[in-house]
Amino acid sequence: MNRDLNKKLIVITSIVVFSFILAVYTNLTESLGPLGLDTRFLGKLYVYFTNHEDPRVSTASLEPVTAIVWDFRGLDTLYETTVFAMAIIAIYSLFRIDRLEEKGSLNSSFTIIPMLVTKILLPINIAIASTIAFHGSISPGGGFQAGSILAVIGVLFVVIFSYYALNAKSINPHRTLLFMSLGLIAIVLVSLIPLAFDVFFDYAYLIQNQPKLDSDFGYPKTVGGLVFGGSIGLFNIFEFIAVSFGFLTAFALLSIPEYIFKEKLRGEESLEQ
Amino acid sequence: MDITVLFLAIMGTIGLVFAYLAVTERALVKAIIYSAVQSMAFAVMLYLLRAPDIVLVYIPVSVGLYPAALFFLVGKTESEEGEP
Repeated sequence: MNRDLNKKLIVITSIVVFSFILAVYTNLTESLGPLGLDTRFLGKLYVYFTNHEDPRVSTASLEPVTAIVWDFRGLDTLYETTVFAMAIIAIYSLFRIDRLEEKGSLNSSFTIIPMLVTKILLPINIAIASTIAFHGSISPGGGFQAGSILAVIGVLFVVIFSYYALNAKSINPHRTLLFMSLGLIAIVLVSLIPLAFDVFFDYAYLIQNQPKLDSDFGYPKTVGGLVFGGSIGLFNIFEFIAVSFGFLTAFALLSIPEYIFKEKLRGEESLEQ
Repeated sequence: MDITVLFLAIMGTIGLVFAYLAVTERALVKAIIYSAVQSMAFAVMLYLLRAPDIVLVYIPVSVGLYPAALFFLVGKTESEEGEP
């Protein structure tokens, strides 16, 4: 036991010394060493064109990161969303469960304090998540961030009140997966609308946001006097829906008690015999 | 020395130590908590590196969702790492 502790101490001390030496060394060559000396040309271009005065080269967003995520490199983000959705669908197909008849109530094995705190946190969390989603084109944040923040309160709810409480509120994996799919369909529609415009009216590109030099198509820059960021705002809202319900699906499935699966497996075995 | 870099170094060290503890810990619940502490240190580092977008997604995922998923999995399997 004592030797184990000594070994641990030696390893931790060497890690600490190594990281401090590394930190001091990188500081000697200007804050981040060779990485932090200069901003790359591409980065400068992104910042310059994010909110350019000429609408034909601008992204209509005030936030460069969101502009990169949903406009400059929008196709990458669409692929990422696809990967996320595929992961959720894979989890859904692993936990094969068709119907859960047991209806529960909002009873919990915890004391009143965590239950009350969760109930108070619920509206606050929803408010924060929607603020981050709707202000994605103005301040740091966006659809994925907001979706994962909303999912946290879902997980807390599951942990404190158990799966049956979710079921009592008519929240089950099938329904949350449906909402996730609706969000994804909306994202696909937003990226396909310019193509429809191209077919029926004038020249336009796939997932086009603002008018380009040779195309007049553009999503609204502002809504009710507030900066909306064209398709960036729409993408943020629908990604928010897709991600939050995707995470909720995964955690609703994970929180189903193990004995239900065991019973189901036993039922399948007896059917085979 | 710049105060930001000093904080970065301290947080990076805390993250490293807790990453080591998470890897060597045999009790899985403890290991998950160590991992969450390491993530918190890294979240502060990302904030100091001026990446608020990443912080906003890193905190809920690495401190909330990821340990929660692992806790569910530990609950479904075993809470102690088996003998090698």
